[in-house]
Amino acid sequence: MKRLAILFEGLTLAAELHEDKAPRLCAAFWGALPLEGEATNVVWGGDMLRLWVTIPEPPEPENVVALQNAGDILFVPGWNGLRLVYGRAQFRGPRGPHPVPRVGRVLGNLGEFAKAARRVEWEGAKPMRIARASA
Amino acid sequence: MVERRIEIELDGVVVTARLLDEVSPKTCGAMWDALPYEDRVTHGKWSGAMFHTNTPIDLGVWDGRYPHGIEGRCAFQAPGEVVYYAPAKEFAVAYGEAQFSWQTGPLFVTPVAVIEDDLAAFAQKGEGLLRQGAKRFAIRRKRP
Repeated sequence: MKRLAILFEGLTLAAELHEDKAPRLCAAFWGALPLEGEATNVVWGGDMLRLWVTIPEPPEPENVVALQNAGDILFVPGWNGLRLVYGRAQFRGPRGPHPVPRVGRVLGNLGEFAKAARRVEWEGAKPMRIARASA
Repeated sequence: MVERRIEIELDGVVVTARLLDEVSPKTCGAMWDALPYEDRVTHGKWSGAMFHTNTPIDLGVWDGRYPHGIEGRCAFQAPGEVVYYAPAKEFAVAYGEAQFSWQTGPLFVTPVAVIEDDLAAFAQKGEGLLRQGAKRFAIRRKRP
């Protein structure tokens, strides 16, 4: 399983890709690494960060889930960029919940990540970098 | 009844809004009495193009029972609408496509005012909260 390193607010978070469940999306994601951009909170979905980056998109969604959990990494064809869930969240828009592809997961204790992510609401956008951590 | 107006300031941009006394008389009356009000606002996480206050302001309308002190109940907001959510004692302002919501989905809120001025500069400040973080917000009475 391919591993990622996410650098955010002085933290280095380990994450894994779910290429067994979403092979084409994970390949596109992996091929685009390293990715660097600003992270803001989403406006409809709760405790979820949006990383504003562009990834060349494969046409079909994979491993689509309607409910998301803390630690989930989402890659949404049609709404480019990545989403990282740090608390209670569900991908939503003006039309309500929107099932989206889950491509990976942040590993380990999410407490420090959640604490840092919550600062975005008050302090504004923060830089984030995602790089390969395995071959 | 004479229409009452307020000034709303977000990060230096001031707009005029009309109180919705005809829709929510009790809440608007208590709000008028409580002004001026100042706080730092943050962008909403569940509600679309909307920001909200963070320091509770108790307008004395919540009695702990259904409908939770909510007057003139509305579940949709148009750009420029100002609402009050009594259980959380907070104001929220829609600057674009918005629907006051939380984890469970949309919530009924009390509409208290509607912005009458052009929204463009104000909406830009509202959207800016996403990338810039919390900003100063004030509501004060506007004299005729």
